[in-house]
Amino acid sequence: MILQFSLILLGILLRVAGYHFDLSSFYNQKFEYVTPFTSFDNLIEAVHLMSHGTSPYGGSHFHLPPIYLWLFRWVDQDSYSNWGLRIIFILIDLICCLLLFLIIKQTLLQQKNKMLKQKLERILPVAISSIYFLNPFTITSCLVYCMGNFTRLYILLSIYFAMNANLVLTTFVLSLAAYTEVTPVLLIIPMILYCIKQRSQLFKSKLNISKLNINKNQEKEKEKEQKQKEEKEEKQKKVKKNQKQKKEKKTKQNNNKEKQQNNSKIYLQWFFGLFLFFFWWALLLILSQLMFNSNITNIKTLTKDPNFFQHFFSNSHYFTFLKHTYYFLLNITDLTPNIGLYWYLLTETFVVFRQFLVFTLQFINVVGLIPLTLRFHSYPLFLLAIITSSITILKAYPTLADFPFLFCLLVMQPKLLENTRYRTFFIRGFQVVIGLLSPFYKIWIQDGTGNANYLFGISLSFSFAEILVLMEMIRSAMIVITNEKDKKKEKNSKPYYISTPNKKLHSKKDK
Amino acid sequence: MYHLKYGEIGRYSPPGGELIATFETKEDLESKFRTVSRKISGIFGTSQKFSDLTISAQPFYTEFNSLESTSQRTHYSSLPREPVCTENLTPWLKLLPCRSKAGLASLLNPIKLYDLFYHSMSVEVTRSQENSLSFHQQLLLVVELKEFKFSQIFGTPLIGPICPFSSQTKIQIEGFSDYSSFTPTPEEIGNNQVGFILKENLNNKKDFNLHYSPKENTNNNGYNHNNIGNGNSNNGNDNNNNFNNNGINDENISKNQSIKLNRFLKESGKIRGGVITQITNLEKNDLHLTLYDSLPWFMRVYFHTLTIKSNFENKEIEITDLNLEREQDNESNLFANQASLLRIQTSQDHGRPSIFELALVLKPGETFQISVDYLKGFLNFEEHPFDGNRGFDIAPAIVSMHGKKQNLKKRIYYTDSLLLMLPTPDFTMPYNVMTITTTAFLIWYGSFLNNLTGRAGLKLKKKSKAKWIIKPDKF
Repeated sequence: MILQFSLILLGILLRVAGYHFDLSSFYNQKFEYVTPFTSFDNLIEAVHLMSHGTSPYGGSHFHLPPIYLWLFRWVDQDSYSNWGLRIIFILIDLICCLLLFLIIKQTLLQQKNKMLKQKLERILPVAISSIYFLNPFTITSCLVYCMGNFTRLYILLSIYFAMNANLVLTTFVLSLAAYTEVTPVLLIIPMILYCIKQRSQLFKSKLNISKLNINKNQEKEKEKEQKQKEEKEEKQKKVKKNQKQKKEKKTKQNNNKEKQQNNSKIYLQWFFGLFLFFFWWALLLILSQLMFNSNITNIKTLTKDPNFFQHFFSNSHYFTFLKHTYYFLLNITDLTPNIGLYWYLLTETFVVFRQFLVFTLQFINVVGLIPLTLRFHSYPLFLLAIITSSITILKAYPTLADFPFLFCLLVMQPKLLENTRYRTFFIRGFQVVIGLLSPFYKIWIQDGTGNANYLFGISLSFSFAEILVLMEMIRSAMIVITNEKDKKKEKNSKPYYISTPNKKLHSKKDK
Repeated sequence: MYHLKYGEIGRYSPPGGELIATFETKEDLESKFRTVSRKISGIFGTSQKFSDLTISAQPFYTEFNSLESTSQRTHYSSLPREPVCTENLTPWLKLLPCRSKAGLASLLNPIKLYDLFYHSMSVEVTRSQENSLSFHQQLLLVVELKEFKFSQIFGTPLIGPICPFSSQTKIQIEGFSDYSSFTPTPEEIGNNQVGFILKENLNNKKDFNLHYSPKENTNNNGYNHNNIGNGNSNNGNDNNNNFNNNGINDENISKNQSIKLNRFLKESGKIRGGVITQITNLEKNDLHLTLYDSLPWFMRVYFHTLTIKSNFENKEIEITDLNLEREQDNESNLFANQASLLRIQTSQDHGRPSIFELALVLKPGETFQISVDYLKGFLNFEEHPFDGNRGFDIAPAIVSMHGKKQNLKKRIYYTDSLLLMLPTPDFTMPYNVMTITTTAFLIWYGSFLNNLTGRAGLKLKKKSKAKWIIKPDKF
């Protein structure tokens, strides 16, 4: 506990020091953290335009949904040195760190191997939460007031609530995440799956206790009958057989009933979860639309016209902000360089192919969802990690701070790290690539000596490395799964051999 | 800066091409303007068709026509990149009744014309309230003179007949009072003005070679303004030759100059930057000015950084926000504060430009420095012009004076146009980029399928150390 507390203090101190020495103006020039989606300047501009009376989405600066306008309606050019704002961003990081800590602690409780459990309990929660909190990338994203911190907070919160089998709150927080960025919609399926599994596990623990009591009572009754009726063994045997058959029938019926009940419960929960998710999302959209129609955000306006904002809604057309938020994210209209894969690809392809290309690129997110759920449905936390990491790699405007988030989620189950390959390659590779990001940007943009191709190469290699890391984790997970399956089927059998230089491809098991 | 160098005479135009159209009604201005621009580009051989919605806009508070207030019915577009050459001169001359065969227009030799310091052509068509059309053509030239002689200025003396369709052919020279040093002698003599009316003496086929030889040694190494205008309805041909002394003489400048304009870009790196316009008041009275500035959509302007500084005060001047509509316009209300923001139009990507209009009150001798920050956008490599590394030309800002007294005319001033360098992608790389990034996605798909569908198993090695691999299944 002391270690955890001290690390948290260190993280907070680093952030406060960064704010104090005005590092935010230095990091505001960096393209890794400041993208058209996450920039804080754009929020200031939007609030300023709103107070002037024009649409906050004008000028194609601001791409967040309107609730952030309401939350930050007091923001100004001077708010870069506002301590209230700084405390908000420090709190977001703190809560993420604590959530990671709690999630890992609870997952360790379900660990069956006691030796591993004891070792890991001391180290793992503190390690992973501090990896996230003390990371220089997260610290700089906090200093820069990066608006992408919110989605990470929402995803971690929803994982925590799903772990506690709270369906309502998971769907609410996840709908918030999907409301800011569209792509976390894909997380709804693994999240509900995780919630349902957690709920069944909780019920199972209760049922096990009740079953023990019933069995004890039955044994006592059997002893009494045996003592009383020793002479009539045939009748007793017949009676026993009948009783056994009846019990089997009863247990079968009970099992069937339980299964049916469980299935219907599961379907109900699925339906309920999906319904709730879309309900919360629709509520948020309606709230944001209402915000435009009322005077909540007008502080500095001079006119007293009640239909103030309708002059930028043509023909009473509602939800025009969807075009600037979701359509923008899915269509990737802004081509400023960032760490992602898409900016140079879409600058250098012909305009004719743009729509098709954008569709296929966004479709990759969706393609992997169902096969992964089918494969890893019994490991929902790992499934969540995979899908969040794929979402962050394939984001339109990612930041460097998404990388430690991705990594921490993947590394939550340390069994997977045993079977990974090329670990030093990844570590050194990430060091090199991340170190070269800002110099190559500077060469092109500020010095004018370099080319756009430098930046293209380095950003591509960064996302490429992230892809490889993800695939390594999937591979090791597959190995672990097959290992467990083999152990379950035949306890004393040998492991499955694939190929040797002198033997055939398939072993004797298939034959 | 035209008027600082050459004086404030005539209706001059900003670099490139400019199109101003006022319509009768406010509705559907954009489509009307599109048709007008295309037709005019066809008539004059220009590429005005590029003045589409991404460039053109409506200045609400500048009045191009001094006779009537046009409010929200004007549509304005400026193409600073437009080159002007003989292909534009010939259709301009074709609009004259005698073209270049008779009359004063026969003096115009394109080889000489495009060798000058400054030249501009304009056509102005207005319909007055009595439904009468007036058609005004103007050619503005700035010539360096060694000797004031037509043969020196235009290359030829005036040979040939006068245009018989014109009601009057007149040469008017301003700025001279000693009429005796002109040959031939002038007919009209006015206050600082001399006029020659050409009638029939040219039909005698004598060359009309205006010659000025002064007796006194005055400072005549100045610039000559040739303001040739031809009108065609109830007005005659006026040729105004105006002299102005060089900028060495400060008195003459202060007589003619009322404001001094300057505009430049401040840039740190290729992405961030700012536009600064400086206005100084050179008159002895307070000036009421409106500034109209339109910046293209790929300069993403941050309006919260719009600041005004003055050399008279240490602090920044507060910009009061006026959300007025043009219908409620009273000139006195516009200029109540020192600086007020009249209008903001935010830009749309691949749509309209961003505009801001300010109303300023300048004290005598005061300079205002108006600055806005922007962030440059990135374009697809097809959207860059053919010479991508030259940059984009940005239209000049318009400063218009609104006069309280009737002495001050409503004048329009243009700043310099700017050259904006956008960070260019590598134009030779489309195939390479597509292949390389799609291999990244291919590796995603390939390893994804391989890992999920293969069978995981142990691979035996010679020293009985097993190694985990995943091999694809045989179907």
